[in-house]
Amino acid sequence: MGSSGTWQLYSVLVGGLGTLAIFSFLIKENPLYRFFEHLFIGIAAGLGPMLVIRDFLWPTILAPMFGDNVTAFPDGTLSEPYQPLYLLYIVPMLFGCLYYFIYSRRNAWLAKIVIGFTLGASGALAIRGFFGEVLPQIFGSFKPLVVLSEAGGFEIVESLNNIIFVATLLLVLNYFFFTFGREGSVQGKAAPLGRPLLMVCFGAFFGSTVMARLALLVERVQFISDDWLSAVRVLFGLG
Amino acid sequence: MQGRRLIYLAMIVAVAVPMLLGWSLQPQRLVTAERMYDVVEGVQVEPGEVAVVWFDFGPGTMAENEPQAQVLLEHLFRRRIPVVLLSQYQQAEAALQSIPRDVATRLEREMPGQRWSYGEAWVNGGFRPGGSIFIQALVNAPDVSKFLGREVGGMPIAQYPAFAKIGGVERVKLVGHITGLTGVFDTIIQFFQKADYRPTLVHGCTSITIPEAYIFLDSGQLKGLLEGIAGAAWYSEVLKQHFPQSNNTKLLVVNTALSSAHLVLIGLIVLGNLIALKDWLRRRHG
Amino acid sequence: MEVRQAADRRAQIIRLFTLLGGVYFFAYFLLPESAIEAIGLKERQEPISNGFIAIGAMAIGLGLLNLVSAHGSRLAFRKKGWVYSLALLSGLFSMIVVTALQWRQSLGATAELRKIQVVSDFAQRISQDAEGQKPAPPLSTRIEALQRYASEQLSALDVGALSPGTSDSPLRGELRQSAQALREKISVAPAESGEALTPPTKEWLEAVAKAGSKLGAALSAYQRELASGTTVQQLYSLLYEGVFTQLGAAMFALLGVYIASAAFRAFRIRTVESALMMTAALVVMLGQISLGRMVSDQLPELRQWLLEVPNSAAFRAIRLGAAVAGLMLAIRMWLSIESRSFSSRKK
Repeated sequence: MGSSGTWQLYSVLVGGLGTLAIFSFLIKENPLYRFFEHLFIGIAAGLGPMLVIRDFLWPTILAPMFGDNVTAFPDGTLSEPYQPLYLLYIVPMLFGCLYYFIYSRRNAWLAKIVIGFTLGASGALAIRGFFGEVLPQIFGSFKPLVVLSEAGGFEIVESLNNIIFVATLLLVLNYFFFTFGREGSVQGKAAPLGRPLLMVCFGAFFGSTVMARLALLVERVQFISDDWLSAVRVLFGLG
Repeated sequence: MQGRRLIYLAMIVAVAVPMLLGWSLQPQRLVTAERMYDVVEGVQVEPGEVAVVWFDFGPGTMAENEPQAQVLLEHLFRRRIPVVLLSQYQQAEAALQSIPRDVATRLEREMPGQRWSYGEAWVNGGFRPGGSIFIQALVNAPDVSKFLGREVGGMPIAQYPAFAKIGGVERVKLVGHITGLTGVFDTIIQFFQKADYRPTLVHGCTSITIPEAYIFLDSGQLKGLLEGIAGAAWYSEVLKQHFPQSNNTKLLVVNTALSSAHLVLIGLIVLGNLIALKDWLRRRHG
Repeated sequence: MEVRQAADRRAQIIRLFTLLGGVYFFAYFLLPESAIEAIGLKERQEPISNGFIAIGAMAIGLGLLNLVSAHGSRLAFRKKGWVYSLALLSGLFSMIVVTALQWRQSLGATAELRKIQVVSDFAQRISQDAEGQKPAPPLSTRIEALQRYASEQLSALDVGALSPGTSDSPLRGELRQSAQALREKISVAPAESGEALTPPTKEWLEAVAKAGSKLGAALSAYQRELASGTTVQQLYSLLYEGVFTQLGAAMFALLGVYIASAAFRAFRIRTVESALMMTAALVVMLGQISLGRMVSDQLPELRQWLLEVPNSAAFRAIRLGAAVAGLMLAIRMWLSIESRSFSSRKK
């Protein structure tokens, strides 16, 4: 096994030990579990900022500012003229630094400027996002309640499905409609009908959630029974 | 307390036994996976046109998303559709590198003499922060390859002939999004579009978000869906029907282990209810 | 009184910036594409978007500062659980250091790569400039410079990546072939090398550009292969794939057994509604697993119908309600109607 293979072996062994340490929490909370838990948080916290710098701040912001995207050709000409306008990136960067005033008791309001700015941007984006997502959803809800085949025949199954779909949609929407007082009105009387339909939806959710959670367990057991045990065998010269 | 540990043990055993014994059952037929296969099969690309596939998953959901990413890439690679891989999620780095490489290696082993090399079959655009802001800018960029700039190795994407002349986003013929994060999926649904452009969007979701994904299938915003591991397993079966050399044994074993765990869990629910019923009857009769 | 006035002024400034933050995206949404183009937003959308992302990116240190201060003090004063803080800080700093080293290594590789890319870029530029009759040094001088530069880079490759001492691999073989292809191209000077761009010269430049691109791609692939064997890369993989990925997956996998325990203890049929919920859950679970067929052949169809019709309709209703609420919140946020916390004055 070459050097690269040795590293890989250690990587699998460490991963397996870490997995078992995390699984030991199922027996009871213990120092080993907490150790690996903290190690995980530390690595995740260290990785995030570095990737933002490596994959965004340097190549997209800083490199053009420093002219690193401009190449000098062998005849002395440049691949593109240096754009001094890139220096304007300093403005959002300095503006973003206002976040750090959150630690200042006296000037914490400066951090609120950039937080407000970001909230404003997110708000406006959300307005756009709403229309991008919801309009097709609304249009998709206009279903014909009587579906006719091309030959003019009545498509009973599809019609029934559409009727159930539209009725469910309206009843559940009505269930969550609290704007006006609804005691005694038709809307109020129809509201309880939405509940059982919601329960069907939540049941589907529960069934799917079970599958998602079990899949995570399956993947880990596979790692332990397949990769890790093989690595252990190699370590002890059994494989 | 002891009872709870017994349940934990039962679940782990239910998963481990089929895996250690290598049981593999035929996966359940899922219509959504078949539809997605047809959508990918129907994509026609001219030179310069590409598919963009987002891997927005990390360790937390790789159990389901990784097999989905594998089958989707396998199909795209078999069809020789150039793929630009991107991610909005910083924890996807390992997946972006290893999954296409593994799929390419498997295909090369299956078909000696044929090659799926980096820069021709796929290019790794890496992690792109900014979420909806980035996607909005990408969609409106006059040239996608220029906008994306360099791939993770430092080469300008436009230097690879297969990705040199992508042009506007209209030339992205398929968008694949593999994720378990609904917020991230929302950014694609909401922003990967223009007034005159709606992508052919297919999605691999974790099981927990299946009920939510169906509303987008119904509205036509999604053209295909892979539902968790079961979806990936059936997609791999469909691939095998068309390409008999395709090997999906490992995925089928995982899917079988998942079935076994489901059965134990359903048994536990039934048992819990029977015990509750017995208690209720006992209380009622004194 | 003065303090209150200052606080109000600050609140106004914050509100103004909140409004400004959304103007660009709202304009982009509201205006037709022709108008966006006319006011120059379209051609500047990339740097503007990058600027917005950069603002958010500057916050990367906030979490780090918090973690380091909280766990650093616990470690420094040997408070209870300091060993865990040590584990956290070791993980944090080792990841930062290793990622920084790996990045440095990749920057070095990129610099090498860019030298080769110049061949392709320069060949294309010569062709474009000559075709567009742009002011540039004489064509023959540029072609000579290109030939000289390309052979210098190829010689550098011969003593670097392609030096006899380095171990062989298929990717190295491809690199050698690509280098040879470029060498052959540049050694044959274009048939005419006058000052005007003739078709043979154009063809030659295109061929050199293509060969240069191919060499760049081959070098990039070879560099990746080389980098994957370095200690820095191995350390990065150990931390990222060996520890981070595996621990992350293990943390989430715990949910797999918890949900079983929760289902056993809490999922009780007590009412018609809970019976409905249980039935739907069972149909969805059994309908998607391999063993479901043993119960009934119709289960998958039933599951499909349940998800497509009642579930989609009910969930769409929930989602529409949430989306409308989200829209209201977004408008309120943008227009600072939701901004009581920005003002020190209680309303």
